[in-house]
Formats: sequence, C-alpha cells, structure tokens
Amino acid sequence: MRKQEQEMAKFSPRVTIDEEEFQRCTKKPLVKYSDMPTEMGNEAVEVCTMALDKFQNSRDYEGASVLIKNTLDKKFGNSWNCVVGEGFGFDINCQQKYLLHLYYGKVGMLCYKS
Amino acid sequence: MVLQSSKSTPTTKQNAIPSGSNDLIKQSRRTSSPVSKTRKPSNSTKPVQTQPASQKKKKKKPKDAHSSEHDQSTTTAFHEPIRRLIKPASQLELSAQELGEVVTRVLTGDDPDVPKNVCKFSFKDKCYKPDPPGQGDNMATHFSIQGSSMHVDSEECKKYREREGAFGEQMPKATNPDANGKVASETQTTTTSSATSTAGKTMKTDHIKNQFNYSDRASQTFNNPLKSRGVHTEPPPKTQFSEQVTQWMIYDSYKDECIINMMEHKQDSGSRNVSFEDKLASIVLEKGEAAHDKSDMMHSKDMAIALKIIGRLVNQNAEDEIFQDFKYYEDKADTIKPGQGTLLPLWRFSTERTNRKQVTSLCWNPLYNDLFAVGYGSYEFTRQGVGMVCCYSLKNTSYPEYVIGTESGVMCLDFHKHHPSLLAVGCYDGTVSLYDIGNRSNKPIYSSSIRSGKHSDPIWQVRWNEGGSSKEMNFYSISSDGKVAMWTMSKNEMKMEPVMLLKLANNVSTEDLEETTLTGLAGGCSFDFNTSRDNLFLVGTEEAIFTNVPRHTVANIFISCSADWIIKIWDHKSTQCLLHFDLGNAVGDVCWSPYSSTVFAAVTTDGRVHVFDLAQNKREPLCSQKVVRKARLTRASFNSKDYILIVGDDRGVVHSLKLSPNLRKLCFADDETKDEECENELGNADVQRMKMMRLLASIDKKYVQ
Repeated sequence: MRKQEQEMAKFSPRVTIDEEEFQRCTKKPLVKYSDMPTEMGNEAVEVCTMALDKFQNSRDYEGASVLIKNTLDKKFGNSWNCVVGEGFGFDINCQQKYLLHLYYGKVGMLCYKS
Repeated sequence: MVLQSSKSTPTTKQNAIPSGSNDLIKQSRRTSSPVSKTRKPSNSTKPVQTQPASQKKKKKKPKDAHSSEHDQSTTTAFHEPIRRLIKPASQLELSAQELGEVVTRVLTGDDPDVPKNVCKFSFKDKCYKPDPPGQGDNMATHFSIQGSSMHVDSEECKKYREREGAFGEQMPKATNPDANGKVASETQTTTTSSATSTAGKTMKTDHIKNQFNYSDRASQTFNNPLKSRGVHTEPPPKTQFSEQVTQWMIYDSYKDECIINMMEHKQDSGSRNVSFEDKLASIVLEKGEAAHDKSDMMHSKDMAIALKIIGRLVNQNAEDEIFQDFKYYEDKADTIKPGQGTLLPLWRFSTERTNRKQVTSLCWNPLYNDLFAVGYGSYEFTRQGVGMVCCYSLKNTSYPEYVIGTESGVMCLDFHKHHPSLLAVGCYDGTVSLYDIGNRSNKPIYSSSIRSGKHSDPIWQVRWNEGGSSKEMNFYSISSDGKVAMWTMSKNEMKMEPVMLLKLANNVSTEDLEETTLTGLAGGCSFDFNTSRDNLFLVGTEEAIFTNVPRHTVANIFISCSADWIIKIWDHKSTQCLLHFDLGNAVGDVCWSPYSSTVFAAVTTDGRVHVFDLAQNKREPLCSQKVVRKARLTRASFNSKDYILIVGDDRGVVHSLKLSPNLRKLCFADDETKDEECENELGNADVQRMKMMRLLASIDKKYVQ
C-alpha cells in the first residue's frame, strides 16, 4: 500500500499554483489547436485577441466573431467561419491548414475555413 | 349627283307612280341619298302617320262588326274591349273624291330647318349684321373618305401619266383593286390603254426597284454543333475536427499552462538545457503513456496490484495452517522441559530457477519485516554460473516478490537501513552492484567495472556504512584478494576507495585484529562494524580461520565461526577467546539474535541448526535440530521483530523456523523479572547489556564491575 501511495505521489505531483501567476496566464491567449503555418497562425491569433479585446467589455461575442471573420476573410481569402463563446461544442469539416482553436480569458474561439 | 339626276326628272316620276302617296314615299326613300334623308323626318311624317290610321280603319271594320255581333249575342261583361277611333277635332273630313285626288310634292335641296335670318356681330362695323346665306348652309357631311383616284383630265393625272410613261408600270391597277368602282374602272381603262402604248418601254424599266413589290426571303447559315466542356479541380484537402469548450476545460488548460510556465521558469533560473518544446513533449509523452496504461487494462498497474493481492490471498488460504502456526503456535513442551527449545519449521522458499544454486547470503529488509533477500551463487570454484537475487515476502511464500539476475554468482548482499529498497550485492567475480528493487528493472543502478575499480577475487561481504558522517552513501566490501574497499555513491557514478590491504606481516591498523600478525596478504572473509563506534570494524580472514565475525550488541564482544567445527566468542581487547563450542561439523554461519544479547544461532553442514542461549546454558545448545536431510546449511538470519529464523541450504532452498518460547527468553532464567516486563521496558538494550555483562562476569573475573 505504501509503495502504491508513493507511486501515486510520483504521478501526481502536488503543484501549488500561484494565483497571481494564474491570472497572468489567463491574460494571454492559449492556442489549443492550430494547424496553420506559424506566421499565419500568429497573425490569426492577433486578430482574434484584438477583436475580443474590443468587444470583451460589452460581452458582444457576436460582434467579435463578425469582426474576426471579416478580418480573416480580407487577409486570407473568403469563406472563414468563426465561433466565439464561453461554452460550445462542435464537429466541423474544414480546410487543412486553416484551423485555429484557442482560449482567451474565459472565452473559447474557433476559426476555420470551410 | 344623284340628287341632280332625281331633280332632273321630277315630273316623270310623279307620273309614273299613280298608285298613291304611299308608294311615292317608298320610291323616294329607295332613291334617297344621304342628303334627302335629313329632310325626310320633317316633311314626310304626316303622310306616314295618316296612312296607318286609314289602314287600321279599314282593317278594323270587320272586327268592329264582329264585336258588335258579339255584343249582341253575349250580354255578359266578358266581351273584348271595344276599340274606338278618336279623331282629332282638326282632322279634315274628306270626301271620296277628295281622297282620290293626287297631291304632288316637290323635293328641294333646301333645308327648311336652316335659319335664314342669322345675325352676327361685326367687329368691323361694330354692329349686328344679318348673315347672308352661304353655300354650305344646306350641306351636312355625313361621311368622307380620301380617295386615291384622280380625275383623268386633272393636272395631277397628267403628271402621273408622264411618270408612268417613264416607268412603264401598271401599278395603279394592282394597288386599287376595290376603290370606288366607277372611277377605278375609269382609271383602269386609261391605264390599260397607256399600258399598251408604253408596252415597248416596260422591258426597260423592269429592273427598277419597286418599293411596294418585295418579298421576304430567309436563309439560315450552318450552325456549329454545340460542345460542353467542364473542368473539376481538386477540392482543397479537408480535415475533421471536433472539440468542446467549457469553462472548466478552459480553466484546466490554463492551469496546465501555468504549471508548465512555472516549471519553465524554474528551469530558467537553474539551467537552460531543456527547451520548452522538450518539456512539452515529455509531458505529452507522459500523458500518452498514462493513456496507454489506461487502455490496456490487462497489463495496467492497477491490474498488477490486484493480481498481487489475489495471489497473496490465495496463498494464505492454501497455507492457512502454517500461517496460524506462525502467529499462535507455542510449543507446550518448553514448559515441561526448561533449558530446551525446539524449532518449528514453517515455510520453504524455493523456485525452480534456484534449484541448482546455493544460498550464499540472506538479508532481512530493515523496514519491511516480512521481506528478505536471498542471494544465490556457488561456493565451489568449479561450479560457477549466473547468480540470482530473490526477494521473498512472508505474505506470499510461493513465489518471490522480486527476482534479479546477475552475471556472476551472488556471494553477499545487504539492504541499506534508511533506504530499504537499496540493495548492495557482491559477486563471485569481484564486482559489486547496487540495485533498487523498487525499480523492478533487472539492471543495477551502479555496477563496478574495471574502470571504476573492482576486486579481483570473490567478494565475501558487503555492508552499508550507515553511521558515516559524509552525506554520500557508502558501503564497504571485502574480498579474498585481501582488500577492503569503500564504495561511495556520487551523483552519477560509484567510486571505489581502497581502505586497506590485509597484510599479514604488518600490523595493518591499530584497530585491526591482533591475531592477523601473519605474513603475506590475507584473504578477507568477513567484516563487521562496531555497533557503537563507526570507525572500528572487524575483519575475518581465511588464514585466521574465521569465516564469520558477527558483531554483538555489546560493543567489544564478537563471535566467530569456521569450518573447523568451532564457534568462538571473543573480546576484541584480548587475544584469548572467552567461550568456544565444538559442534562436530563445519559451521556455515553464526548470528546473534537481535532481541536477546545471549542468544545466537549457528548452522552446520550436516543440516542442523543450533540455537544457544548463554544465559540458560553456557556449554550446550538449547536446541540442535536437523532441518534438512541431505543438504548442507550455509546461512542463517534472525528476523528483527518476529521470532523467526531463516536458514539457507546449498540446494537453493530457504527454510523458515519459528523459535519456541524457551529460545527467546529475554531475561535470565533465574531472574525475577518477567519477559514481558523486559520487553515493555524502554531500556531493553540496557537490560540486554546487563545480561551479557553478567554472563561475562561469570566467565571471567575481569568483567566483574
């Protein structure tokens, strides 16, 4: 039993998270999944964060998504789709190299080209 | 024109129609022109009205007669209504003659309704002037049509003729098929005559285009057959992706990110060897492994634990009696026969793989009382082979918990006291290895090699140095090549430090045995540390015939055994032995018991185990019991907590024996204090020391305090 406990302890190290550190983490976008080329991905992330910064105070996710969609359409060609929300699920078919899924603060965002 | 014609013959007409005015009117009507019609309603109404009246009169006469007849015959009210002619008072009464008189009437072109005294204001004279009757007063236009005919003699016609003469055409005939008959026919005749006159010219003018004589003519060019062609490009490659976003997932992700950040930060402060990607990769790898473990249930860790527990349960059920004996059996014969004890055999530990090997070492784990390690090898030079280390647990007696294979035969092993999973192993080929049995890998953490330094002869004993002041762990080894070495564990290697050479001629160290005053290099056989002083240790050598020198709890007392059948007890300050026992067979091993200072056990090659308690009997063993029939016993070891003695034989079997109550008395037999009290007392060590001192005092006056 004792051995088992030791093993368990080894597998789940108790890391205490600094609240301040955590807050700092949530200020940054967290890319959950992206298959874009690096440069394009960076630009897309920037677009997303910019749009959300603009609309976060009013919690107007619709406006943010419209803005993101339009900006991406202009930058990388048409037929972009954008989902912004605090909770949603999806199962999508999208073009390769045009998918970005990220968290920013309390919001999840999904941009892809259909 | 018509009127003119009728006017011209008024008399003839009036004469020709004598039948009456009625007929005349009819006649006039028939021949009436649009102009005459207008005059008719005004003038001819009277005769028309009068005529029917007269006719009616004539017709009704018989009817009246009939009705009068009717009146006469039937006087009832149901007769037909009586018709009576009511004549206007002004009607003339004409006689028959007068009626037959013909009244002539003349039709004129004048309209009687046209006013003849029209006055108009003259702006010139500034007064009204009677308007003289004009030409158009009596004319009313009812219908007019623009004709295409022209008068033969007119100027226009003349021009036309000229033109026609030039072209030689007969078009008027074709274009005027149904115009006003009379004139048309006139023009026709003229044109025909002109046509004949101009016949010669017509041929010339044929080619001239006539704007009215045309015909539609259509033609269609050849249509190229239509083709359809389509191109279908490859659609861009698509992927499917599904995920969920929830608040807690976002939180968890950020938390992971935070941890990674913190770890990275730590690494940054330390060394920047590992990049972030590597860190991430390792984390992913770990997660993947965990996932893999989860997916493969049969080979998962949980399954292994479950199987281990089940194995133990089955084993304990199968050997229930032995487990009961282990816990509760006490030999009642001991109460009858004081000064004698027995050993109760419990389990045999063996596996198929160790059948042909000899048990060369036994070691109890200092932390887990039920766990002990057994080293397998061979003492015979000609029968060397691979060695093995098996760790058995009393909880599962049928199969070892851990099995470690070594290249050479294992000669000795020792558990670290504070790190109970660390096992130092000495082998026949002179290598020492360090194993972590918790690791479950067959490979040693450290192993000595020629580069790191090693013994050239079999290692007879390894022993951890727990009391060392240095932070690094170290252990000592002794080999028959005459060297004592200290092995130090540093971060990633094991260093050998020769401690001494057992030179027979020299006095090696002041602390060394006084007996080893022989020449040459002595083959070391065993050694042990002083229990109270770390810097002292004993060495047993081949030349001194000692094979084993376990140290006693009382600092300066030690025991030795050898193949010359004799066990001796010594004080390290004197060269004379205090006690000696002849067992009549080569002694394989001797060991002090951990719980009583006066108890020790020895195993001999005839398969006997001898247990002594000097406090009870200073000359004879309390128990001398044959444990194995044919095999020779090689090693013995007491359990530190339970009253269990394990002995190993040269057939690879380990036997566990339970000591009877007489063999584990903690106090002197004639002492008043009870065993329990001794046990309970905190100063058990003091009691044991006192017991030993008392024993020594009885042997030698020197020890009397």
